[in-house]
Amino acid sequence: MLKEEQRYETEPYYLVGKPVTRLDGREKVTGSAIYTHDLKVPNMLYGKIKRSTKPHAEIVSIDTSRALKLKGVRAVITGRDVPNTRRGVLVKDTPVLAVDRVRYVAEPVAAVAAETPEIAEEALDLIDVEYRELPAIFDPEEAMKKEPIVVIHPDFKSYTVKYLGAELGIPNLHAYFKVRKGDVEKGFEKCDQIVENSFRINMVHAFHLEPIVSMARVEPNGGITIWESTQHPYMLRNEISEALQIPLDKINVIVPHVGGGFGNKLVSVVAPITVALAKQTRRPVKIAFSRREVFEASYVRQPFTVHIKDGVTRDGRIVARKMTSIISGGGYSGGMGVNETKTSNCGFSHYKVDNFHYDAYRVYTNRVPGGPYRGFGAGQVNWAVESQMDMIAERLGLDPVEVRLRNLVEEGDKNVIGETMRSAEHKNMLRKAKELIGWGQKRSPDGPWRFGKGVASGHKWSFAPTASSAMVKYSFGGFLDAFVSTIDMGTGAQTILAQIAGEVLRIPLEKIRVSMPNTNFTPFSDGGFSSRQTYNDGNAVRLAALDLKKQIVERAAGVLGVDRMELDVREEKVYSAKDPKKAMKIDDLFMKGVSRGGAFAPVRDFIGAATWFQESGPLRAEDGQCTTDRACSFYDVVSTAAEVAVNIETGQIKILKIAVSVDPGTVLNPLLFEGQVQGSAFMAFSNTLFEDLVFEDGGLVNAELADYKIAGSKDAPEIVVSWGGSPFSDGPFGAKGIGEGPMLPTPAAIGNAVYDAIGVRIPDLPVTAEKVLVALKEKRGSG
Amino acid sequence: MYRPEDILVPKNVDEVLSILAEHPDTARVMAGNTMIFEIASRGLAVDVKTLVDITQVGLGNVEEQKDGIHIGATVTLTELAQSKLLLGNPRHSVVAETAQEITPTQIRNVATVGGEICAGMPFFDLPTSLLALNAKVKLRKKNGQRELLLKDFILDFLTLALEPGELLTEVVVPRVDKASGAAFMKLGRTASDLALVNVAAAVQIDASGRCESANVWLGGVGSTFRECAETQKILAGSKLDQETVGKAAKAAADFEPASSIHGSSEYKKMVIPVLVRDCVQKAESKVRR
Repeated sequence: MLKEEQRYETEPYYLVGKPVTRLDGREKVTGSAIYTHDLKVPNMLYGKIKRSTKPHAEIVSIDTSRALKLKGVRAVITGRDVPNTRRGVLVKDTPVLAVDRVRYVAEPVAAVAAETPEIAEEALDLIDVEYRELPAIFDPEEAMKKEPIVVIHPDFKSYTVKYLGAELGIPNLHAYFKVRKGDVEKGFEKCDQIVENSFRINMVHAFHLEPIVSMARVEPNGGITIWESTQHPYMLRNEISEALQIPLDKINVIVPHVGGGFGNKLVSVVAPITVALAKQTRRPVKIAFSRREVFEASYVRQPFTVHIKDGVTRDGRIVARKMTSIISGGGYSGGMGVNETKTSNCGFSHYKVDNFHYDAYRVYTNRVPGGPYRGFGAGQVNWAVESQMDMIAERLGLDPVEVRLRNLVEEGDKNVIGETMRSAEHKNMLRKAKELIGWGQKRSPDGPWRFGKGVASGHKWSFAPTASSAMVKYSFGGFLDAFVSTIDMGTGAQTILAQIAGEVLRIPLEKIRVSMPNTNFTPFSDGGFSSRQTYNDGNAVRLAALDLKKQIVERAAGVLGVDRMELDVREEKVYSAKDPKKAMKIDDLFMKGVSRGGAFAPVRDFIGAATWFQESGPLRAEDGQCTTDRACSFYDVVSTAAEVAVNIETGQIKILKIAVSVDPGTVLNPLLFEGQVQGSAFMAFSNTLFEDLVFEDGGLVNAELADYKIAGSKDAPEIVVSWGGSPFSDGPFGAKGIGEGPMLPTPAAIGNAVYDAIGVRIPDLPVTAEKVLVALKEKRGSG
Repeated sequence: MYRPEDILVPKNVDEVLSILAEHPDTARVMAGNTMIFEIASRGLAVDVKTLVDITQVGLGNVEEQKDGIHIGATVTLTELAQSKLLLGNPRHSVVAETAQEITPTQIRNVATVGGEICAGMPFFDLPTSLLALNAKVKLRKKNGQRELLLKDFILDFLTLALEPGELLTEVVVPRVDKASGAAFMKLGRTASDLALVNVAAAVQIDASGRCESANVWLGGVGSTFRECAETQKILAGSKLDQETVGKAAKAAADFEPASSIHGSSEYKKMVIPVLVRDCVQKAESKVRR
């Protein structure tokens, strides 16, 4: 950090750390906030998507003639009417509309644009698709075979891929990641006990309240404007450019309010179709998914099967750990879903193990593609690792907290992927969670209810390298506009950025506005995901505000005749810190304009701009070791403790209390911090006990809210949130991101608490009442 | 998407009956309108062209008459849940208590007792309780009226003994002069769920403290509600002691409940005795002696 920057970052803070209410709170609560769903433009058509009814089949023919004859239908397109491209982030395998072959039920095969949604819907039934069915693979173990019953992407070799694992000879494998450290086999020889277990993590949906939706319009100059509920407008622009072969400068992405995303809106499952229909009809087209479509045809949290073999010493140290994750990827790479193969490392890298061996395989299966889901694969692996830690403790007769404390990483440690841990308060977070839950004190049984407590630890990295830019404009009258492409999908990111800009320039919150993304006018951000915006967009705004402040101070230094290093700003004034009499209004620095009718108008703005770039070293292909000492932006460090009640007659589980202990660096806004952590813990508890996407044959059978069970307010436990740790030197005012962290250890804390209560462990999520009761019965039977 | 051709809002019951007489096969009554579009979205209402809104025809009262409590077909679940008339009686209060457990509030505010019955959903909560109270339904058509026991009215999934042109106008919960109590319990996956299994029990106690008769019904276990005849037989004449109640509760699970993705038949068989036991005990505890 520059010397000059440092002096602006001193306490007492003006806005940082203050529990200010969110900028968009009033409009959201009153229902006046505009979402993509609300948009309607003149001449707009409604698009609908014809979807595959087969899990795996060749498309013999698609006949659109009957649909085209329907009154009010303006276009019907198939894969033959759009460029024959394949897109994806690391594995480019996904066509705009299926060509030749469908790989999951609900895959888009054709699309209609019509004057009303009803006509479009009716036209879908008039599109005749003839399929020749192929064998389908639903079981990832089958997909892992070297000679599987079918190869889901026979042309895989012709795709553009960043693919590791080609030498393994597994035809349905399309992403692979490994870590090698020390010598596990030697480690197993040296240990006292081997603990070996398998865990399955099921498929669930992110379930954002606002469904998938997009609107596109061809502009008079030939450009395309896209309005979409997206988490990454700049990536969307790239994707459309690639998929439909439109130059980048012809695409503008505008993002109204976003009603939740949780990773699922990171890579669009709709925009290429919306744009293709708009191009075809030369009229604006909007496609809004039904809730059923959201469940059936947008990304899901991909199922993992995790196997762990640990060699441990009598005193609870892990000497060697060998792990495998098999990921059921679905029919395609799922945008960034394929990246979870690597980011799953955050599910285990909070433990220091000298001899470590990990293989993660992502295989194609004939299911809806798995995509990014809050935690990016780390949650799935954390469930396995943190369940395993309790199983080790039990085997050794040790306290589960103690076993964790003996193995967690500390500040300055090299973790299993060879990076140096920074801001690593893992042990303190665990101690705090333990204290908050009243560890060691157990309630006595009450009728059929048994009580138990559990803990789990975890951390989630925020990826790097990454970048964000920001521009800030100070206008005559003392107000500030921040131009950013930050996504506020409910996180409060806009408010956080306003607090950061306002802190640097000491401007009250009500005089600050933060833009919503518009890729023609707002600068680059790497998107709203991986808990990255507070840190990266926040740093960009902080630097842009500093740039602006320097300009104000320099100009004032000339007018006041003092050294600029003496000057500071606050509430529309610039003043000398040494001699407070030397002060002036910032408004007086604005040049007076040319006289017109005798009045002087202020001309010019002060504009600051900056780009924040977070560097990191890549992980080596051959051993997953980081090539520098830094693999990410930061780690969001969390421990969760849970207390549960289990009914031994019905298997029902009540969560009595969840305590989440987080190291966020600095808390920029306690209200938003608490909301984010509670929301994350709540989402995790819901998918631990209730959520499950259930398939019969090829299709999803619970693609609606009556049958997809989600925790509601009546299920809500008390969620206690605490924070500790110290400011993280690289973060804006010391802050890190916190959006994903609590998702990781919360499920295992619950699973461990259930075990504590009744001595039964459910290794496969979700932990349903039925599974608990069956397991109890088996235990009684065997005991 | 389902689009009815017409939605009519008649002002009295006679108008409703005329419309139904005119379109016996293509008109369908609605009240809270929480189910018809759900049913239609599954392709189960393709023949329905006209929807008849009956919320303005004066069927919205709960009142005590000589033979029992009369509940109008369009009384909402919220009104039931708050009815002092029901809550003041240890037996009839089960109707209000059941309504209180149906979520969410928005549904309770519009869903009606007539709809809960006529939706023909074998896992709904209110019918289970009304069945345990031996409730009757009053039916009217243009040239006539009749009364049926609720258990003879609900036949199967989506199937009622409702004749073309007929309207359910009232539910009658019969008066019982003996010491009596009734209770309802349900098990769902979440706290605001439809029932995986629900149970209602009503017991009548004679002067000697013995159970004179018991009515126990289950929902969520098959294509329609199930009367636990064996359970009732075991309970009748007993002192409702722990052992007898336990035995009776076990007998309630002596069949193969229907499986769903939310709970297997085996699981339901394990929890039914627990629910029935607790429900009978709760009903008994409500009796004022």
